[in-house]
Amino acid sequence: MEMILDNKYELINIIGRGNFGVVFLAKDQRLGRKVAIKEARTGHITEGEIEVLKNIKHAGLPEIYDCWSDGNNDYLVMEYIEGTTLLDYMRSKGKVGETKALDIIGQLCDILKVLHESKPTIIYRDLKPSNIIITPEERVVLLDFGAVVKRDYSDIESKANYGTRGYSAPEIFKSQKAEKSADIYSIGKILRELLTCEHPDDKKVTADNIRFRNRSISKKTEQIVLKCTQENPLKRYQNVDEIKNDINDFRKMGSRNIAFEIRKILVAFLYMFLLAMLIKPIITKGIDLSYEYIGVLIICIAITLLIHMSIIYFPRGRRTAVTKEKQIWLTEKKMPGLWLIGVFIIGMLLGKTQNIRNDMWVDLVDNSDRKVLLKDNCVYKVEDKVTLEIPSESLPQKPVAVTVIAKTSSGDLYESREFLLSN
Amino acid sequence: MKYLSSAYWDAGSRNRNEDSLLLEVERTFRGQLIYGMVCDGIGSLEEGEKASGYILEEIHSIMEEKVLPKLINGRSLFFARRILLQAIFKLYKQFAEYAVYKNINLGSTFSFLIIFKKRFLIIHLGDSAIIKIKRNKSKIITPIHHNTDGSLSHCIGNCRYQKPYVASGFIHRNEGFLICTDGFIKRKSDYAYGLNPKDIESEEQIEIRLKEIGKKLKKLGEKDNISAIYIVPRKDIFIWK
Repeated sequence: MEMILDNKYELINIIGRGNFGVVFLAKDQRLGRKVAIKEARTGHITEGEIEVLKNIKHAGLPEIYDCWSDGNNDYLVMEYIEGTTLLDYMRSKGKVGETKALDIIGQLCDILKVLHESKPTIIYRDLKPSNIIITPEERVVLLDFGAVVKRDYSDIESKANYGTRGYSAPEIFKSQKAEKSADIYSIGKILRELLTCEHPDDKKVTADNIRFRNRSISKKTEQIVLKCTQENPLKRYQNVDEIKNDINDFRKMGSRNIAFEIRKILVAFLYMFLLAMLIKPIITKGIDLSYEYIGVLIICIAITLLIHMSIIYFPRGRRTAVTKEKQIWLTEKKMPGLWLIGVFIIGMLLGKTQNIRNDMWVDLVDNSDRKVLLKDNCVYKVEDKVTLEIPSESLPQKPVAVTVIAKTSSGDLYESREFLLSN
Repeated sequence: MKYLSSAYWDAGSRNRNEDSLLLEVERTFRGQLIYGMVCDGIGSLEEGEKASGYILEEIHSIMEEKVLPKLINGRSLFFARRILLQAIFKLYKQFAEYAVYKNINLGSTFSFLIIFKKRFLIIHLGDSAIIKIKRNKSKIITPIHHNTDGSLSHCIGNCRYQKPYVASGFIHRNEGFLICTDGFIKRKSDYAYGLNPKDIESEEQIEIRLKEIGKKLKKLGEKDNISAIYIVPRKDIFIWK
């Protein structure tokens, strides 16, 4: 690629592509330095982007050198930041350790603090790994300010559909409203992805309980992720300082999940024991690859792997993975005593009748198929017939003999014939 | 699949609200679990609010202790059905004993819906109802347990023991479920008008719509307690930069 822009920028190659344009690596022929040139269709490099880069100086933001338009395209010349995007960084390294992840997030918080505390407040809105560069010195730099809005201006409810599914806060898609908490939501999603290596838009990702994805993560870090990614913006951290404070707390408390470390040590001992078991016969008897030895070898390896899996990987205490998202409980019942009274009655009945189980339940049903309402000292007048109903659930497993005994007020007893019932 | 849900609870023109409702949303690593129940204490009998509230307490504790841990560990809704039916039978017995002890008659209807892993389970007794809303159409999917003379034939407590109505099935994207008491369905109202799942985007919206329907019913002359829970699958928003 040999092309010279504005008579001084020699284009070297394309280093990035987006929906709105292309980013070139170029060389400033006069000053002899490398620069990044963003080329976009006219109107797609916003004044907001230029103003942010022009007015705010920070090690985590690229410096702006020049901007112009040739009628068809807008051009923005910026400092060239050497390094890889966080997306590529994760692809190459996989899961990032907890300390490293919190270090990256801490640096990101410092950059966002400068943006959020500027006047007017600047909301980034489209925070995602592909917009973050990690330099070879492990410094974090934020790029692409095309989606920024200023909170105190009228564009707080920008009509433009900025945001990336999975990373951007849900309120951005619903109302295009952008507050500081929208950036904080994205921070939480990025931290989660750093720790679990799962894209937040992955449909398999159902629970936000990241400790079940990566068991080495401490509870404190999990709480940071959960608080950042609350659906309700008011329940999230309200500024990046709060996240920084929690990250500092994590550092003070010690960065390791002690229980997990102990489990790791146990597994290490297990492997050492296995090794000793395997080496011992070789040392004592010399190399003898008999069927017996190979059989023991396979069984030992299988048992060790099983214990390793159960200690390190298999999730335990799954009930703790449940988070109550919402509970609406509306009733006018004030006293919780109904069951207590029930227990009291059963207790009384059991106390009175030691050998008889009072769980045979009989309903009295009238000829119009309704349950007869029984009250004390109330005589029910039978017009045609009454039916005694015994629900099958109340019958014991074995067949039972049932007899109906009727007693008059004068003490006369009437007894029916006996019949057998079984469930 | 994730869900949006909200509830409405109003005493109407009565002094006390004998309806009780519970809506609970749990986030598990197997997905969102949501259950709601509405109990309508029988107004003509004593202690209606206690009856409905007690059912709520009991079913909630059974869900917490017995059903949820098992569902999360991989058991199906069929297991939940078995446990809940046993619980309802026990409730019948407890109510009978309590009624004899206090020399009163009490009872409550019971409509329960649980949704987990794209499947739903309904357990229902009485004249409250579960309504399925799809696009602009609504359909009552539970039977209304009435005698020929209009009196209640199924309820927990005062009625003779009868097995509850049980139904299960799959959840579809554009279907919402409205669990409500008879106060909500006595007056003919077009529920689907305000609760079309396609139009629902937030829980606040559901709350507002339910309130609007409640107001409308009261204007139409409904004096009974009005309670309702609405659950609808959440729409996914696809906006790419």
